[in-house]
Amino acid sequence: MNSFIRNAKKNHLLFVLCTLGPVLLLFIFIRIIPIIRTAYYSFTNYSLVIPKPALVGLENYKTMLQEPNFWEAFKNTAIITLACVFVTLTVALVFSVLLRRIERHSPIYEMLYFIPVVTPWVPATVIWRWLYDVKFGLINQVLEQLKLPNQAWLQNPEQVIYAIILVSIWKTLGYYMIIFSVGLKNIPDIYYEASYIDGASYVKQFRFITIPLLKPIVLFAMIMASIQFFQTFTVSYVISSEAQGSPSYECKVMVWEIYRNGFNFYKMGYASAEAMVLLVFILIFILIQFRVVRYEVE
Amino acid sequence: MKSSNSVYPQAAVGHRPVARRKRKIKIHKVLIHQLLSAGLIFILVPFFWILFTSLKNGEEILRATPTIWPEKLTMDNYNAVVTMQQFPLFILNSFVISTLSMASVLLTSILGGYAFAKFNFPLKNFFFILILATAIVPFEVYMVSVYVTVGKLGFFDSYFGIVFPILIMSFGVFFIRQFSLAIPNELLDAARIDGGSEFWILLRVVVPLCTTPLMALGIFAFAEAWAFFIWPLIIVNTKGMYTIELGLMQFHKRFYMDHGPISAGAIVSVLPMLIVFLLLRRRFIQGVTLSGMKL
Repeated sequence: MNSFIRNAKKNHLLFVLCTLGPVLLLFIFIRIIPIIRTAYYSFTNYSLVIPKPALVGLENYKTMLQEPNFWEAFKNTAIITLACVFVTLTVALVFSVLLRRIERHSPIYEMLYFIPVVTPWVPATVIWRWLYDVKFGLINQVLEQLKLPNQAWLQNPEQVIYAIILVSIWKTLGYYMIIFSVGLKNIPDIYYEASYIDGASYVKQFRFITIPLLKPIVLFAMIMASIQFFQTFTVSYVISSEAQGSPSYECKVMVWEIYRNGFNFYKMGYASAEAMVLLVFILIFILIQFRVVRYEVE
Repeated sequence: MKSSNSVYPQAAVGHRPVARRKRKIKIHKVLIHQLLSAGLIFILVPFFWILFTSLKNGEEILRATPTIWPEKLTMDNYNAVVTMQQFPLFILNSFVISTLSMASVLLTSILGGYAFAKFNFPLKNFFFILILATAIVPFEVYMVSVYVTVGKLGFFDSYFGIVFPILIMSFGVFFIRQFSLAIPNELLDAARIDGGSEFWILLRVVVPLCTTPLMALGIFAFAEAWAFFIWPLIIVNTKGMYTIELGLMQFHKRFYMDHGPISAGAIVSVLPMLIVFLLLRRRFIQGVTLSGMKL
């Protein structure tokens, strides 16, 4: 028996080596090394046009802080993230609570709200761009019917960011509705019944039962959503892509800055510095959320 | 899902309050349906608007007084997209890439997830945390570096180059690990005593027990790969290798004013995912549900 166990143990290690080994190698090669190398590039003047990169210390970071483009991109990304996380999650939470009250019909609503989630970002943006069209877009035609002035949603620098936020909310709402529905289904009904006997109103139940018990899911959703919106790129890129005739105002976002510097200007080192800053912001944002939510639990 | 976990519903809630509560809820229900339907208008109108536009001819789209329903249905826009813009080829490319990514993610996730769940080996926790930690680093952060690697390997403009960053998914390893943990050790040991090799056990015991999460993960990986945009945008230069996302983007960029064909292009590019979703809608939602539950 002893030798059987010893043999089995040896076999186990061999098995782990054969299964996990290649997977780990892939992770190291495709994720870990590129992340570390990006950190390294950020301290060099690496570029596809310069044959030999040299270490330049904090040069890239210094230039970045003086670059108005970077700050504009940072500001826009922060606004989009905050607005989208807040609005999407709030609406999704309210809707999923409402869905619980009409259990029998909730699958059909969940399915329909999920359609934009399976629509990839490019067609989603193309669809909305047509809705926003200055003259022929549905939104402006409705405004016209209401005798309100047409709005140049995509050409007005102040409005384009709201246009982007709206598309993002539309696209992600259904996903978070389902996430919250799962959390709600895991709350035992007995809590609600007990509080009902004690005479609690729906609002009170929501505040004192639903919210506290849903906290882990809310935190998960907040983190998922902030990571997702911090990488916002496709909507701005497609909405602002240069078009013949009517170029839209460009809403710069951080990933776009990385893309532009890295792949249009080939300033790989500088782009890497921007990427590291993006990563640090995401980490800080997640940390704050952990702190706030945990604090509220206590 | 169970609709009620109540232990003594009748005993706890008296007869009268139940009756009163029912009436109250009925009124609420109508309101809830109205509110959710209003939300549905916001969700669905964009699709109908683009669908109707794609069926109109150029003159009708740009008419001063708008029509909602197309006056004269025309398939010209779809013809233009399918014959002139090589959209079928782009869809094929997307399909190949998504399938490759899905297969690789499924394979690596079951291998890694099962090993992490059921075996002990040196540095296990370290490796696991390492893989998990990469999940919060968006691809956009290190794409510059991946670009350099793929360039050195000479895989620009190839399926392998496009699939390269999505061969693995850290969430997938985590997800399958969570489900593998639930497999009883006795079952695995019984199979071992019966003389099953470890690979046989993985293939014949573990994989069948993980069918549901594997299906959910497969759909998720496929959809993710299908929607992958920034990477193909960077490394694909020849039109023959365009994914459908990239094809629609370039088409949109060049022919912005041709609203009809653009709308048809958007519909054509949404359609494959929409069909997959409608066929497998319960699996899609189950996937999100499972990932939410296994936190």
